[in-house]
Amino acid sequence: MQSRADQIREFIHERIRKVASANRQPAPELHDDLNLVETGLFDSLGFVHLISGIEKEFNIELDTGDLGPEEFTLVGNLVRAAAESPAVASETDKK
Amino acid sequence: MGPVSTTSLSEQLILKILPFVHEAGSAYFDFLLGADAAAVLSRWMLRSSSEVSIERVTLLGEPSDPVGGFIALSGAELSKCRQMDMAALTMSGNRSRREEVAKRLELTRNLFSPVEANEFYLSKFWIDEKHRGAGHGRRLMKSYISAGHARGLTRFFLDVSAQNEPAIRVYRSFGFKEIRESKVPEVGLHYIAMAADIAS
Repeated sequence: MQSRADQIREFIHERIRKVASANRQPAPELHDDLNLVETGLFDSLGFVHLISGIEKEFNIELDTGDLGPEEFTLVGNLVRAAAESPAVASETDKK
Repeated sequence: MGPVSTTSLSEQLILKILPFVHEAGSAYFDFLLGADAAAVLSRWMLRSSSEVSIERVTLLGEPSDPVGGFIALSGAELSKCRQMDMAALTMSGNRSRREEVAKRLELTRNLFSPVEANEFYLSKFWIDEKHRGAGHGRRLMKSYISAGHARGLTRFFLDVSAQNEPAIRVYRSFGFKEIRESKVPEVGLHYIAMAADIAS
């Protein structure tokens, strides 16, 4: 069974592949040191949508703590931060 | 023994010039960053990867009482810095704040033209009000152009608020021409992109 971190990593990799395909660009080599900004695949709005997508898919409130943007835009750091982020109460829980 | 100051020189300088950097981009900053725009900018100024990093500031006059200053960077640097700033903004709040950021970015995504990697972009430009009318603006513009030439760049680019007629006149006098006008009327943003080819 995949760990939560592996699931999040796979989700991010899949997003990268989809965006590259939509832009008719070759997907970059996928590894934890890949910087999402430097791939050129995610503009400002694309990055917000990626983060929102992770939060919705895994039902979390993504918290990157004290990491700066140079750090949390690395796939590995983003995966770790997301895996350690708290779950949010679902709509059902709130009722 | 007197009190020990824990404020670094960079932080002291940022406190001094933050109001000018904020004012130079106030229309856009205030819309995008909201009520705490100044606080956000002061954090960004401490980060090397920010468009408004203190490391990119050129001042005219004494650092203790600068007459004015500017921030300029190449199009290649600008693209990466803006994305780092927007990534920082994205992660600076909770989920609902991110939804708000996404809406604001969507509204303004075509406000500024893309800047080519080999263009030298004037990001911020200011003269302290008490020193205006003494020719310092022209001195600073010459310094900006020299900085571009020192990097081997001869194409100069900027965005200016359409209401800032005095600045537009100065830019025109250096050969800048209006190349694009963009508006987001819903939120009162109106900018003019200007460019000039200036051989060294």
